[in-house]
Amino acid sequence: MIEASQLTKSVDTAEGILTILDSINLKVDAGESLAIVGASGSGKSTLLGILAGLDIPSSGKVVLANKDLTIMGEEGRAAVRAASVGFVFQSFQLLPGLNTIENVMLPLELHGVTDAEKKATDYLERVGLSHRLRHYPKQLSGGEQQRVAIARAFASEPDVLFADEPTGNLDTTTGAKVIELLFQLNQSQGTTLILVTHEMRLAQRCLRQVTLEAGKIVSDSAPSSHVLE
Amino acid sequence: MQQLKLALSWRLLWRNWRSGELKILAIALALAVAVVSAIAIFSSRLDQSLLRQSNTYLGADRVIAGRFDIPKDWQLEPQKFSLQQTTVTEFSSMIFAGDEMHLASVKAVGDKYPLRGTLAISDIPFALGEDIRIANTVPASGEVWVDSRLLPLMNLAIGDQLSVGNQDFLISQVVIREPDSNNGFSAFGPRVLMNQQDLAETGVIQPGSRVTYRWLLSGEEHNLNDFEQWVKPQLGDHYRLITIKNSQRSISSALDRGSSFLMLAAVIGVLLASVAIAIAAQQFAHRHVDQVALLKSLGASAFLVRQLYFTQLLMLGIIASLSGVFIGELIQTLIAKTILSFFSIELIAASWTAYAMGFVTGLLCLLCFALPPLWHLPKVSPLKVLRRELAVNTVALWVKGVLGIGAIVLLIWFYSGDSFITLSIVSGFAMVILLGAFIAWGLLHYTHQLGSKAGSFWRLALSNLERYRTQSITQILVFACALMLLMVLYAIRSNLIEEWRLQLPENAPNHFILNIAPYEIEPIEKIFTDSTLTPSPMYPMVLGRLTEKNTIKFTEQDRQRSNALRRELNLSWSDTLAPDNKIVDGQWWDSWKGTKNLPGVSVEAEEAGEIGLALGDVVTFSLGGLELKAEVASIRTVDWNAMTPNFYFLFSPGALDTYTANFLTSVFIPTDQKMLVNTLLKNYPTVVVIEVDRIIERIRTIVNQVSKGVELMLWLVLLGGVMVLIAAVNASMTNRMQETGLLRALGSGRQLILSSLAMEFATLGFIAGAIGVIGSEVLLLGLQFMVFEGPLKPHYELWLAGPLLGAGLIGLLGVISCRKAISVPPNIVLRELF
Repeated sequence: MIEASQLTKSVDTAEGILTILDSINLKVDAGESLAIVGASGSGKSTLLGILAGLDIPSSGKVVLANKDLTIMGEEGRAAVRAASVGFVFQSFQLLPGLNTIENVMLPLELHGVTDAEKKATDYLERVGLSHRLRHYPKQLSGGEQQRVAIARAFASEPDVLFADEPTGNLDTTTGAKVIELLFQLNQSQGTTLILVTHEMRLAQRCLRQVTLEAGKIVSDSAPSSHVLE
Repeated sequence: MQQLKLALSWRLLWRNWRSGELKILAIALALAVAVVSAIAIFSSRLDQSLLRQSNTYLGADRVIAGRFDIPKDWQLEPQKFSLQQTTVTEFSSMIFAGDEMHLASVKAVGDKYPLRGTLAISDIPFALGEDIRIANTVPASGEVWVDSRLLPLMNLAIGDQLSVGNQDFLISQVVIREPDSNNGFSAFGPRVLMNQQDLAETGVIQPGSRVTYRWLLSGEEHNLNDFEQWVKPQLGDHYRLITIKNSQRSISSALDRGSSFLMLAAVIGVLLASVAIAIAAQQFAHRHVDQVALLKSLGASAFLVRQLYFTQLLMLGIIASLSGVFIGELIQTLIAKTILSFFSIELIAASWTAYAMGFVTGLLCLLCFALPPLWHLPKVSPLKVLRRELAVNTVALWVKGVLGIGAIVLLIWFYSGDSFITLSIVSGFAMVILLGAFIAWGLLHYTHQLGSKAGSFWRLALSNLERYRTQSITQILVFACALMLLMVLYAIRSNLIEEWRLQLPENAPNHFILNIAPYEIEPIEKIFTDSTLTPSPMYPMVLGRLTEKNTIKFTEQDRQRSNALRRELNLSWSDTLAPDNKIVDGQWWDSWKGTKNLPGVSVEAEEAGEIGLALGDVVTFSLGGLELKAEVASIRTVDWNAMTPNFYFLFSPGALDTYTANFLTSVFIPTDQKMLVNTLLKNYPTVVVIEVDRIIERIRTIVNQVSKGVELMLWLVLLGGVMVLIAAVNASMTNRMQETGLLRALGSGRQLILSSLAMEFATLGFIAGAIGVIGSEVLLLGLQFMVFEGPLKPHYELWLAGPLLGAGLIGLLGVISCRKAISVPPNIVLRELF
């Protein structure tokens, strides 16, 4: 599903060139669930951004759904994201001016789905928010907001779901419920899941864990065939 | 797909509107359009209505006058342009009744005469009040209507006969007033009005006769304009087009200056609203960076984002502009109803261009002021959903600056069509921005030092201003520009109205008495002094014809070019220069030294231009068969707005002493003493009285109407100013709410926060007001000098009012806008912001 080879990301700073990712090789199969773990500043989110086509590496190659993201322009990557990618963010990223159902409908409307409202209602029912359809984000609790974000991510039925610290802003109990929901939907739809977390409980729910340290993969629980040499 | 995008844009627009993010943008836009529409529609209606009213002084909307009959094929044209037409033939002729004869001004009119205005007649000579009737027809064939004064002059009465040429006529009525009688002082003979049909029978018009043919036309303004386009190339040297603008200078000048002001108000209203639009769009763009990043992470391409946002903007533009036009229409209806009901003027519908102008303004403002702040949105990186700290590459400040200034120049030019207004406003802006930034920086520094020694809320307020210095300076500049424009408009309105009032003082002379013989001076003056009226001094007046320039006779071609060469001119002399006359070239008598040993003559500037006279030229006049040569000593401008006697040719003292002069005077006759005119004419039938009281009254009415309109516009534009202030205050609200929330969480009292906020905004307003005053004086200097031609004087009242008004208004708006931060529990404020 995703294949990254020799991924390097470096940026110019006042102190010189800073390497955030250093020669990362990674292969993720369809339907697999992968947790990228590591300390703050280890390069987790940068890796997630590049794998999802939100950012480009300084060198190396990323292939997502058989498309080489590194040779594409932003428009091409946007098309790949539209066709294959969903996101769940730490800060939920719900639009404050839109109510619950409108937030879920947004990606569907962007992709020109005709029965967007029906589909959104369906997914909100699946995350247990059918009674909150017309509520605005600020009228919902943190857990509810993240459930809306999960409904939004799955509603467009992506091949790959990227989650950036999905429980980072939630208390333990709420976080656990959200994790449950995420994996439940993941399994039922057979989506490939790649998430970034520093919460071990969440990481362990994934089939595979990759640990980053100073921009390098230092451990990978996957069979050796998945780690590209 | 395209339809889907339109539907999606529409839904997004509706959602953005519902969330309140578009309100200031939409309101500012609608306000800009409303101001322009109201002004354009009202001006158009007023202009057209007043023009039509004024046209009663021409008897038509347009007149073509010439020395030859109007060609028959021309007379087929007006029908094609849906215009009404009639012809008038005027000439001087000796008329006879028994043994009596007299030189009369004969006017033969067509059946439809007059096309505008009314002809007042009576069965009783010198009739007044209820004895006067409005004529619905013209004299029947075989009849004439005559001036009252002709009857005592020739010992005639109504019902008697008189003859013009070969034809006898029955005197059936007296003419009391003609709509087009005030066209200069040339028609001295008493009027004889006859039917056009009888003209040929009289046999008085022979080849070479001195006749003026006038072709009267009326209709819708746009048809008249089309007709003008057709007729102008045909006129050649033999005919000229007369409009109210070139025949009644006083009226057209009042109208022009009123229109200039209204247009300036529109420009300022649009500029203010545009600043509000720019600020609101900036805010909108700022808040939508996250939304765009999200849309792009969800797979929206930059192209799609651009399409979605620009379509929303266009939809907003169309809706807000249409609403603006509608509001503008309501406002102008209100003005028309409340103000014009005092005056007996029937307003006609505005032209469609007035409505279109408002609508186009909306789209133009959006294009120039809302688009640049939003331009970068499609380029926001989708990575921002993961890394919020990622910088957004907005359009460079200098690009926005250039676009903004360009847009301002474009807008001012679009509305005023005047390079001086454009230059003045842009200089004012430049002055405020450059000088303002410098002064604001210094003042902020000084007030901070002052604040550190002051009480707690002062310290808090002033240190805040100093801490966000860039933001504070930007806000001061925006406030200063808004206040500057408001003060300029206020000052111009006051000057204009004051000037109009001075120009037509209550007891300005409203009657001109001409053709007074030297022996009549004393008794006529006695008539006035007995009635406690004070006529102006008697001006000597000699009739003469200009025949040569530098001993070369004027040709027929010259005469076709200049009206002054075709008729007898009123010549006078004076040792003092009238206050409304200005020498633009050469010298007045006290310092003039002639080189040709001839008397000097001072020529009115426009006339000199038309005839082609320059300093040192020798002109020859024929005065009753005698020849007078004079050297052009000076060229003079004359204020035709001042209702005082003025002459094209004024000679040096003594030059006219040997010629028989008649005298001219002017006097103010109040309405209740109007009978005096009849007494005068009955006793001295050769005297000519020109009544300008109706013109003066009309000008006064027009000026009053325009003044009221001007005042109302000022209030409307003030609303635009308040809009800018609200938008600018709102723009800094997030920071302030955050700070206020924190301060309250840390235990600061509401009183302290409220006072410090009030002080902070009031200080901003005070500094902005002070800078605005400087800018407005610069701008006024240009506008007064170049556009309104008023006296240049400082506006001391603004020097104090500007800063105080700024402090009060902005302090109040600031506190109102921040009230939520004070009344809502701090945890809610902070949760909403973080």
